[in-house]
Amino acid sequence: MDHLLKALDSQNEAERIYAVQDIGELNDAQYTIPLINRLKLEHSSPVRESIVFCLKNVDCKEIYDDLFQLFRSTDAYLRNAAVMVFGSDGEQAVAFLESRLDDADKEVRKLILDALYETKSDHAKQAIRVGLNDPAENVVITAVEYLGLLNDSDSAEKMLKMLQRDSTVPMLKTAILSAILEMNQSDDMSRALLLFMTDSNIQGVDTLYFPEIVQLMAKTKDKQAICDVLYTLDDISVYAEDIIRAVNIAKQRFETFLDDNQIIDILMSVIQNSNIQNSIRSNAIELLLESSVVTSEQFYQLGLKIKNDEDMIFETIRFLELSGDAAGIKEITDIMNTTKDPELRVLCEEIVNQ
Amino acid sequence: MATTLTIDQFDTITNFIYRKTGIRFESKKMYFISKRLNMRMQNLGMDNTLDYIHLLLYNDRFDTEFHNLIDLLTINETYFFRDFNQLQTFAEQCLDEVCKRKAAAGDYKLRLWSAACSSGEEPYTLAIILQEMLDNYRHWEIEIIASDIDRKILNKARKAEYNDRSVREVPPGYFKKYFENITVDGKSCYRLRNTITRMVKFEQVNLSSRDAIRDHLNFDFIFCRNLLIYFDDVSRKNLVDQFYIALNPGGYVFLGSSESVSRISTVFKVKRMNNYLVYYK
Repeated sequence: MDHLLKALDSQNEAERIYAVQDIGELNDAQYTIPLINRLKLEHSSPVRESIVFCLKNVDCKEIYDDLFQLFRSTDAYLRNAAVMVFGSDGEQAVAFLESRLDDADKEVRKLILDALYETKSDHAKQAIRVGLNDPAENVVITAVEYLGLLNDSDSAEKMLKMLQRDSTVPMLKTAILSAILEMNQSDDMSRALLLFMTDSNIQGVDTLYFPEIVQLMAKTKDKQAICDVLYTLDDISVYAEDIIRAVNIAKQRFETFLDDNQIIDILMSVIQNSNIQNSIRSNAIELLLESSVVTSEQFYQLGLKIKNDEDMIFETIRFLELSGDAAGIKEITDIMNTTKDPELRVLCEEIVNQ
Repeated sequence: MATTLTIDQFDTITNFIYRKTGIRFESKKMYFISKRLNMRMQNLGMDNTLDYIHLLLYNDRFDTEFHNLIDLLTINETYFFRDFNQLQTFAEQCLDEVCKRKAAAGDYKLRLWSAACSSGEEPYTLAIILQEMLDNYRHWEIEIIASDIDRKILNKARKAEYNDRSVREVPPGYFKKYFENITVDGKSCYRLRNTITRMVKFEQVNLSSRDAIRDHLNFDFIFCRNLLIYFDDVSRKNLVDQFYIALNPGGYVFLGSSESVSRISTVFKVKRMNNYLVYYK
């Protein structure tokens, strides 16, 4: 073991990396001390990275105080490394982190919340809730975000009270709305929505909150109200993701939502709009395919319209296949014979040979 | 009945795969992934995508289902000039840059490592590229090390005899120049000429073994395509660290084009060449 500790201080970068790997193989908590001491001095990125990787795979309670001091480092890498190493220790690290939440430095308090979240522990929720009372806005926002992700419905009441206050800054309001959505409790969502709009007219709402309001509508309002709101959103490129997300939510609540002609129009507009991110267009396609009113001819035509868009080629294949048309199979065969993409070729072969 | 993936489900699955393997599936592959997921679900008698995702993320203790899914998602066929765009970037940009730098310093040695060479198509492809792209090719001392864990496949690689499928992407001019028609067991196939085969040295290496890889050093280019997905986190990190140590300054590492080096290690620098992201030391 002495030779490994000596190698950890070698002038040769490769030797230091090998030493870290070999120490890691021992999987012994006592060696976290020389590793963290090396990390504090180390300038080489590969060696640092190896040390952090190693620490994430071993019990680090021997070095919690040293790790905590890294939260005060001016080096962002070291701060982030400490968050990840605490996180990797899971439940074991929660009590230590919680005991430090009264630190005088708001940036340190924020990092503690980051680390608590990374532990993925149930007990972390209770600790993170303390952050809702923090005097620093960034800490409160961080706490709200994490509690939403952790689905902590017990903190919803407090968040709704914050939402009602005029003094609450927009960024915090947005975070609270997102958290309420994550928690997905019907009453809380309805109450949040009422604070922004009392009828189905979204035009009076600050556009900053449109994405969250649209989702809240989709989760709580009736079918017609949802359609009305989606149509009043003028710029489809800007709100495409929110629209599609809302349609996804609404279709789970209303069986015939996707058969509505106006919804079909919206979906087709999104699919053909090359200014919209491809993942959103793909999702619009998935939704369109669930509709029972779209015809084979419409699928074929849609396939031809997006055929030259390289990023939509897989979807093109799909539409052409769905058209059930000999012309569609011919188009697929042409693509199969010219493509250099092995996945695309295999897919075309499967369809053509069916 | 086939079920469709929602975008959130697609994101969940692809993020999961990315965390475990470094492979990134773009959104345009949603239909491809959806079809393969359906195949797995059919196999397991499942009809609910959420149940399958739950199995994958929380109830797949030994990664059995994960590996079944990955086997379907990754097209592991090897052939000459596979991933042409990446090889083009290597040939026209990276190789040119490294050779100019080395020649200016009077260094005419080039070392390449095809770390998971399988039946040899990749290292032989690299040899063809070097012969075609290097100015004054004969002035260079070239060494291509090709390694694999499987002894049988290495023996096949040394024979350098290939069928139609393996050679289908070879540019016609190269095919004529570097392959000869032969008949083996009554079947027509193609053998690489000695001018190429003698450039490649095959070795049996277990890339999961730290000791086995530590003496592989001083390379200008390392290729390890579509292999790391099968490694656990520790072995994968150790191997990529070794690639870093093994590369000469300015040397390049190439993983599969949908694999992300930076997911595994951030020590390599990255730049865009030919609209393609490349990683170097």
